[in-house]
Parts: sequence; structure tokens; C-alpha cells
Amino acid sequence: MQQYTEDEIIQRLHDPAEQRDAFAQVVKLYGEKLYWQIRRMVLSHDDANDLLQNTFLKAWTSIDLFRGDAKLATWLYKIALNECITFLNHQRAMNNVSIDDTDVFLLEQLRSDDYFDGDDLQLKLQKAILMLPEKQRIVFTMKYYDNMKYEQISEIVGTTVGALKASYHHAVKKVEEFLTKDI
Amino acid sequence: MNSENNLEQLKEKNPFRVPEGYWEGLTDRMMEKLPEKEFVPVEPRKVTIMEYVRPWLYLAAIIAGMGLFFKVIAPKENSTVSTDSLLVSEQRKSASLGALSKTGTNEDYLEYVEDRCAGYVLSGNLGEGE
Repeated sequence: MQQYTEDEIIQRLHDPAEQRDAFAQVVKLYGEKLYWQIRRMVLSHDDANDLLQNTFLKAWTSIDLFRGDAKLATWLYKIALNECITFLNHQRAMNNVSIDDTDVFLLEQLRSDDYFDGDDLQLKLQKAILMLPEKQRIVFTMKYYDNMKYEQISEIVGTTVGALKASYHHAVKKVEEFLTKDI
Repeated sequence: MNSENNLEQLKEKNPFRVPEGYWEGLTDRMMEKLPEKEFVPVEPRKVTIMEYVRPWLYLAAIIAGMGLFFKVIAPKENSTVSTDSLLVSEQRKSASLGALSKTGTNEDYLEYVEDRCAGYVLSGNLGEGE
């Protein structure tokens, strides 16, 4: 597949004759990164796969509205994040979890997940992350795993860089404190 | 701190994995679920005469509306008129003789005459005094 710049891809995405081909290139470029962002939020491979499909479906149906004001990656991450939040809200409702509670209920699924190879310490880390409030968890996973720049995270979640830095700092402290506990 | 080291060390190993061959067919699997989009060529829109005329009609309506507005708040026929006697400046509504004859009293009639003839009468009196 020929390599195009982002501007060229966006141009091709608005050309009906080349749109599908251009979108395939988008999937190839961003599929794996989006998958991991989703997977770290929902933990299960099957759920992550479904949400990735939903993300690309939503992007495909609204591609004509994308004008290139933001980076393609930022736009896709936003869609993926919204899909994760919607999914987690649904999971919380099914598990009778209060809005103020965390997503620790996902940990039980993780213990028996065929596609999770982590040891006890890894499980402890996942539990610590799941215990964070949703916004802190989002910032933590983006910064800790992907080392995303605060400016990009700010565009995705719509929070100021200063607030994000504070949020990440608090999240790291909480996770570190939890890891030192004997549980 | 021990926990900091742990946090950095834990990042190096990804405990999550994917099924065998997941990445190889990912693009094809995602693309085959996407619906085909129908390309409908957009015909150039024909501009009607009404679309040309409409802005002028709106402008005419605005001007007519403004004209009506100012006509409504324009000064009325019965307005206040200042009349001066020798000593006192008064503002008295001027009224037609016809209206007075129908509704006015004798006093009103005398006031009316005074208003009309004050200048003539006074000039005549002053002339006598000299």
C-alpha cells in the first residue's frame, strides 16, 4: 500500500472514489494503537475487539464531517474513548455499580481472562488503576502506557493541560501507595 | 522509592496479549464490517427568480415597516402651544373653535378669544395710554 501523508489521506477520505481505500489505510495506521488504548480501559480482549470495530464504524459513518481541524489520531482517540465510556457505563449498570464507585468489578473477569498473562503484581497494578476515578484512570492509562503528550490528551478529553498534570500526579501517588500495601 | 521502581518496571512488560494472528487480518476484518457508501452525484442547484427577488422584497418590507413605525410615533395634530400674556408664560392646548362650541363653557370661550386677540387688543390699549 502506497504511503500517504496525513493531509493526503484526509483529501482522499473526502474523495468518494478513493474513500474506502483511504479508510483502510487509516485502519492500518491506527488500528493497533487504538486497540491498546481500548484494551487498557476495558481489559478484556473480546470487548476491546468489539469496541475497536464500533470505533471504526462510527468514524466511517461520520468521515464526511471530519474537516481536518484536529489530527486524525486525536479524532479517532476521542471516538474510541467515548465508546469505552459508554461500554463501561453499561457494564456498571449491569453490575449495579454506583456512578461514584470504581471499576474494580472488572478485576474478577481479568483473573480468568485467557489473554492476561500478568502475575500477582500486575494484577495488583490493574486493581490500583481500576480503583482510580474514571477521569484519573483515563489520564493515567494514556500517559503511563503510551507516554502521550499532555497537549494531545487535552485535545482528546477536553481538559486543560494543568488539570491533566495534576490529575496524573494524584493518580500516580494513589497507584504507588496501593502497590506498597500488603494486599 | 520501591513503588516508583515497580511502576516503571511494570510498564516494561505488557501482561495483556492477543490471539494468534490477530494483527495480520485486523484491517480486512474491520473493513469488511463497514457498509458500502452510495455515491450520489450532487446536481448543480438551479437558482429560481424568486431567490433573486426575495432579498429585495425583504428590504422593501423593512422600509415599509420603518415608515409605518415613524408615522405612528410622529407628532399628533393636537400638540401643546406656548402662548404668552404680558406677565406669565403659559402652555395651553390650542383647540378649534368648533370643538369649544360643542363642549366648552363660557369661560373656555373667553379664553379662546383672549388667545386669538391678545396681541391686537394690547397694542390698541397701549396706544390709548400714550
